[in-house]
Amino acid sequence: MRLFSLYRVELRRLLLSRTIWIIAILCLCALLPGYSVFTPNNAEVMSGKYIVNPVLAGTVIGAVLWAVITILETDRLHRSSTDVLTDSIASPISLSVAKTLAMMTISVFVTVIVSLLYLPFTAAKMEYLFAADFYFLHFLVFMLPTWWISILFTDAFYQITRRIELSVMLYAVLAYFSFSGFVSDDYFMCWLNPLTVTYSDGFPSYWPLRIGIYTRMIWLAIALGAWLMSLMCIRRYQKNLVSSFVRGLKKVYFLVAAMLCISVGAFLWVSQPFIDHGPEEYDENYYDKHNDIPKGNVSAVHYLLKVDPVTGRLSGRAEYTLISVMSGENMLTLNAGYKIKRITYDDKDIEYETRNDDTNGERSTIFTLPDANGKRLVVEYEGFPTVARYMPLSISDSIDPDYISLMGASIAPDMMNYNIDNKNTTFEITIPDGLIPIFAHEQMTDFTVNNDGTKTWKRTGEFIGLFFSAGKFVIDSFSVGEAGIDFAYGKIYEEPVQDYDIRQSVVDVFDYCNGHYGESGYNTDKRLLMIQRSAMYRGGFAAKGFCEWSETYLSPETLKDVDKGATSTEVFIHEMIHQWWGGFGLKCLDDGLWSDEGLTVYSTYRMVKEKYGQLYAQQHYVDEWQKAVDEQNRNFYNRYPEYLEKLPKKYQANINESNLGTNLYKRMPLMILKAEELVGGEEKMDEILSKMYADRASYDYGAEFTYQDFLNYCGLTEEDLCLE
Amino acid sequence: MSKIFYYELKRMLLSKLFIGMLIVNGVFAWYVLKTDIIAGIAYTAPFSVWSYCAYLGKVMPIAIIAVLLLLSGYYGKKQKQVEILTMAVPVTQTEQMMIRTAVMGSCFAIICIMLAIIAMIFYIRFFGFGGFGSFILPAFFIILPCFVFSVGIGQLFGRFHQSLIYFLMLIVFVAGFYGVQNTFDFFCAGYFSAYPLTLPVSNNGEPEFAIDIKFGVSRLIYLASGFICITFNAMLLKHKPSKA
Amino acid sequence: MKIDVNHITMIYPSGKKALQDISISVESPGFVGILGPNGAGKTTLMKLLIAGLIPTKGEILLDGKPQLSQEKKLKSQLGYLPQSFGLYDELTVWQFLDYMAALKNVKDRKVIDNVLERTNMTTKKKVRIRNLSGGQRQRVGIAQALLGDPQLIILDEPTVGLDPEERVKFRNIFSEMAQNKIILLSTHIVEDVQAVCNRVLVIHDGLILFDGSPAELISQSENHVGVYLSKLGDSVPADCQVVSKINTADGIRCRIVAERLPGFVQVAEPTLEDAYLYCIHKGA
Repeated sequence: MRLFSLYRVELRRLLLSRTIWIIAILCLCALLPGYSVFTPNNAEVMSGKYIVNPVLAGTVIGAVLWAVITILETDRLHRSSTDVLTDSIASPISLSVAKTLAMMTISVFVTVIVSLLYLPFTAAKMEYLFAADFYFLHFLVFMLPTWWISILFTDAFYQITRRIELSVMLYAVLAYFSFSGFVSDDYFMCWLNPLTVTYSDGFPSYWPLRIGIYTRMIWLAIALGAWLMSLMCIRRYQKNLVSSFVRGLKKVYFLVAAMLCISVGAFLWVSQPFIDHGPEEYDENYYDKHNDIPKGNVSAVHYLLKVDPVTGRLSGRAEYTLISVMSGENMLTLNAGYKIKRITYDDKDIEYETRNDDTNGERSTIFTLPDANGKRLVVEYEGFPTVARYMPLSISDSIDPDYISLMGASIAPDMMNYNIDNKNTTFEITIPDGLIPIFAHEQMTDFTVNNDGTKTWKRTGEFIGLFFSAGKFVIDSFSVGEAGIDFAYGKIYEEPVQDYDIRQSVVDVFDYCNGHYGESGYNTDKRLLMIQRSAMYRGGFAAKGFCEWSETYLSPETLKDVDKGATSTEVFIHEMIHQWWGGFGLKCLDDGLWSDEGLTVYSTYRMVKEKYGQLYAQQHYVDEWQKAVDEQNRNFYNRYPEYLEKLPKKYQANINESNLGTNLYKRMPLMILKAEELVGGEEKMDEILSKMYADRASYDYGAEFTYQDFLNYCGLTEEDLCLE
Repeated sequence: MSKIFYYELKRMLLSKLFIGMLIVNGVFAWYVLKTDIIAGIAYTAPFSVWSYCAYLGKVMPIAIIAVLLLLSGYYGKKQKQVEILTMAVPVTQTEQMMIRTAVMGSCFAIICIMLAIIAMIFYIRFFGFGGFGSFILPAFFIILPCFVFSVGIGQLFGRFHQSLIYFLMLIVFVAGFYGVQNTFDFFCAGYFSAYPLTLPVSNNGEPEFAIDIKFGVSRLIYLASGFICITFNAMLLKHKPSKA
Repeated sequence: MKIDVNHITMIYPSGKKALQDISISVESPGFVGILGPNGAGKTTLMKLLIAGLIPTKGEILLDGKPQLSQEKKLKSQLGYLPQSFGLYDELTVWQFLDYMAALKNVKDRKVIDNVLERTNMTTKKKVRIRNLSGGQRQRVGIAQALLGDPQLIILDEPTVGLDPEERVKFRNIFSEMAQNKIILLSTHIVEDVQAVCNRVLVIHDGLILFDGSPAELISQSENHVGVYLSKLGDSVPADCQVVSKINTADGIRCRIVAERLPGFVQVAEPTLEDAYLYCIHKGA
């Protein structure tokens, strides 16, 4: 009761303070930089631009403002020696608690006012893309808890140090830490600036909010623990920090509560379900390790999956029909977030052991098959798909009400001891009604309607791999010449697709490549599926029979912005051109320099040159390639590779990765451009490329088209194309 | 005088603030070396004079913030209360200020020596490089103007109000991390990252170390302005006692 | 040493008039007590004397020369103990005095031991200042003022926070020192002035109301101090100021000062405190 009355007194006092009002007004303005200068979220989509970035700006700037006011308000009592009077009336600990609670209450008021203030503008800007729940959730998940964390930390720092400048320094160090490169891709370390992945308008994911809630809980627990600990350091009886703390320790309940909070934070941190606990680097050998062991055979597989879009969890069952069995110890790997519920062998439960060996987002389980006579192996599993630690900002697996994306070991176990015949596969999945599924780059057509607002989709037959996505797609089927095309895009993009005649862009690429290199391998039977993916996926990807690219190409703002539109269109063009170089077309051997990419980038440049003019192509392609190659040549570690070996592995990997990207996407196209000059110009080059494409049947898996083959077609030598 | 200096320095060096700032500077220096400098600045070797200068430029804001923080102590309430006693002694306020400036210089020198030692450890550990001789002169070129100018302005600001020094620290922070890359780059990190890119490459694949005249003049201007501020401040102190 | 204060007026920038046209002259040896209520201008006068302020009007002469031109000389002969001051908490008592000695250009380290002994702080010399009590800090303040055998000692409320025994001891130390120096002692404790000072200044509202020996101050108030017995609820006679009220068996024994004592009041022998209060009462 006493605390409550003190809280009311403090609340009233703070509300009368002019500084609090100034801070509140500054907090209202704190969202503005999010529209322009402070854009931590890759704002290619409207929700990123008009919700996430402003909220994040408000979160960070507001948190700093609350830290300032907390220190000032706490220090004011001390500086003006008012504490000498107040301490004689009430316990300084109760007063401090009441003041902090009052401060946190005011931050709630400010959050409500800020969210209401920006509501009309955001709704007007986002038009039909605006969702009120999504909007308010961001204030609740990111802004308010971070402000509280900031208040608790600064109050703790001040109570411990009793010095303004030291508290500011400690806060600055902590804030800098949150922003530093040390933790730039660590969701759990960024306490002040919540890390978010690229958002999507067409295929919204709640993953950033889920991890946002989780990280805020961790830091709130830690900050609360630190704050409770600091209450024990409140100076009384003119004692110094250590003596006050020793005295404070006598209040055992504070210590217990503080330790409990910190333990909860630590526990949440350690047992977080979002990112696997594996190494930071990608393990290239992970998948090769089991290539050499003798394998049993599986004749058919039946996958039965169910997703819960509210919790984001998947439960699955994979049933394998065995032809030959590897008795003894067997291994499977599964997404590191899944737990195996049961493994049966001919309906008998067998023992298994899941190891803590997270690598590349997966975790292995060992089970022992007692004999080699069984016919049926069933694995049941359930869980929340984790993201691989080596690439935490790329969310490939996510289960949400409006969008589901799963692949590989996030769909079903990878059976290390078996060769699986993909021809007899049954894939069944239960997803919310209204979502259109795409499995293994193909549409699903067979479904049954359930009573609980879900549909169970089923596909049987052959498939090329475990890739599944479902979203609110519209599928537009049409033909270009002989080629049949299924163009799947987000339902909200129906308008721009029609307004900007996107179908014509597809036709343009087909016309260009058909004309310059030869007819594509598609017809009415072998159709090309083009899928628009969530903006979370940067760039695009293409394989046999299908290509996909990020939704940003169809974002209304991108389409209106000519320059940006062109850049996005190029990704679209690039992925389609892969149908000639790679996929159904000519398969090139990837040797780190020569690959499908070199020819595709070069062809994209040529088409862009035709479409947007020489100047644009020179600036955005040739000059960029040259710049990247020059930088690569000048780089110290490329000049003195012996020093590269002296670097820690992480840096070596970064430099090698950067070199690989430059080689594939910049150096090779530049070399092909040089070849173009040497063979006598664009027309000659097109003739050569067209001949290469015509001969594609000779180059299949195992005998892919090499760089030497290319030189032979051009009649050039390696020295001719040397760039130095 | 030496005794006054000794006690002033002792007070400063043994303060938690200085030790804390030393740790912060050390951690930050290692972070800069491990994240930025290790890649080599402007495509030069991480242990080139260019990279070393850029390293100093990148760590300078935090070192200067440390100096300003220490300086702010001379304008605090506690110091003012002691000054009631020290103003009644024959050693003038100006002389006392000069001693304190020397103390600041010593603290800054200790920070800089630590920064240099950290860089040495880094270079020896990762690259087995030990030719530090060529770093000395350019280092003075960077750190001296930074120190003199900051202390000069800091003293001037502090005279009016202690909180103005905190404001100055904020400016240093912002300027240090979002600074210009041109001739007037105060901390030099931007300059030493950008200028070598404009120079011709010599036989070893890197531009020879050189600075342009404009930049040299800008350093001298900073240095001179700093000295002017310190002198001006000393002159203002001479006119004490104040009228209030 | 001789200090002449000639027609000094001090007006602060806020407009507050602290001193109005004050003139005094002090010569060594001399022990001057400065008495006056809060806000009378005592501390301002002291700050002016140590060249911590510049007067709005008038001048201060040190041995006949303007004080500001003699600042170095003044400070080399000055021992100053302000009303409130700070110490470097992180240093020990000895280190702090060593530091102050260096500032005062005192080279002989024995001086430090000497002042430590005189202020009864020898046992505390290795203790950090932050660990001292209020009274001990005050003694460190006095010790630093005594460093280097100063010719002019200005003490602003020096015995605040000291116990009665220490107060007497310091009073005697000051008294001994006054043999060949000038000591200016500002205080509220009239008793201290009476015990040691050979000259008293009474300041009120920026004006000097009295300048003379304590005996002269007392003689001035003769026939202006009286006692009478009153009953509970009786009001104080007009134009009188009550000095004390003592409950006795016969009633309340009141001691008053007044320009004209009422007829029923019995005249009493004045003390210095009565005389001081009478002086202020008259001045007001």
